[in-house]
Amino acid sequence: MTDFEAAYALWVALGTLGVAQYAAVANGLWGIVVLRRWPNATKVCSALIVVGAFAWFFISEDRNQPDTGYGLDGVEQARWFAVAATASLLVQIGVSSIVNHRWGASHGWDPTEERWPPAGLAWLERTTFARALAARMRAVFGGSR
Amino acid sequence: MDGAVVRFLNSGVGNVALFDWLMNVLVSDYFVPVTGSLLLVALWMTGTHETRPLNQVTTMITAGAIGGANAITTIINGIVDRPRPFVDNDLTLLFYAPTDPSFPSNTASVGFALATAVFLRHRRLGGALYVLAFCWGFARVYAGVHYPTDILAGAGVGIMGALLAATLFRLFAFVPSYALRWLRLVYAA
Repeated sequence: MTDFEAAYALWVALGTLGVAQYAAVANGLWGIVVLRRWPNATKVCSALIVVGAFAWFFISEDRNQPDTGYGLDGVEQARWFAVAATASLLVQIGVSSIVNHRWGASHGWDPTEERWPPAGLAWLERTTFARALAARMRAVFGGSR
Repeated sequence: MDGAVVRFLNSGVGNVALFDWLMNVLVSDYFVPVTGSLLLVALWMTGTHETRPLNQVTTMITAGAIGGANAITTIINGIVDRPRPFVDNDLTLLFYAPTDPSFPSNTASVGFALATAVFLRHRRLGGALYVLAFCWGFARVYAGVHYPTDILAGAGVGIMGALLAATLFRLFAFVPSYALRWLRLVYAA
């Protein structure tokens, strides 16, 4: 990994952190919000992280480097974006699942009444990603009853 | 005419440092693609139980549109081997000297594919992305790496690519809906 690739990946990861946390708060997906108790602070911090990441990337050095040399071509950009954004989302999911673990217990799904837990991001309005996925796994592998 | 427009716009380089810095950021290979991609991440998560899947399909269409527009541009680049404007004109480059063909502009095709695909569902967000795509194209001409007709052709390719992707997704709607159903089971959609 070159310095340029590392800087690009860090920029994307921070940008994804800010954008995903802001979108999660704005859409009530509290299970993946790291600072769930402080929604307004989360919005402000998210916006600052995005703006700061963009400012740092473009001010710290000249980023107009040849895409055949030190810079990144389209395929490399797509690859590093996917890696950095996925890593950022996984970290957010992991951290938010830990800090919201107790809150996520009252998720409104009773496995003794319904075999399958709710599907989709909408359930993350009431529980954490880890709890949702664990419930799904238990239902699939027959351990929910 | 094409060369005269580039020379006229490029003659502004060096006059206002702040404007040049802004153009330097806008003209970059990274600013618009990353901004657009981050907006798609937000769009994926946005909406209610009913509207979120539609936004997620829009995100998929946009990814397909960008890929399609890129492929069409690469094919045309191979056929029409037009040199960059700085080869035939005395210009002050605000960007590195690209070695690939000038016509059509790949950046314009990507920018306008992104804007059109989003515009089909979200007029305001799509409109903002059209402005961003236009600014990206303008910056490329100002920086001396594209002729205006490169940008116009790239915009055309991008718009056509997005409409084609939207049509294909409508014809084969079972593919994204099947993918979304699986992604919903693991809380990724």
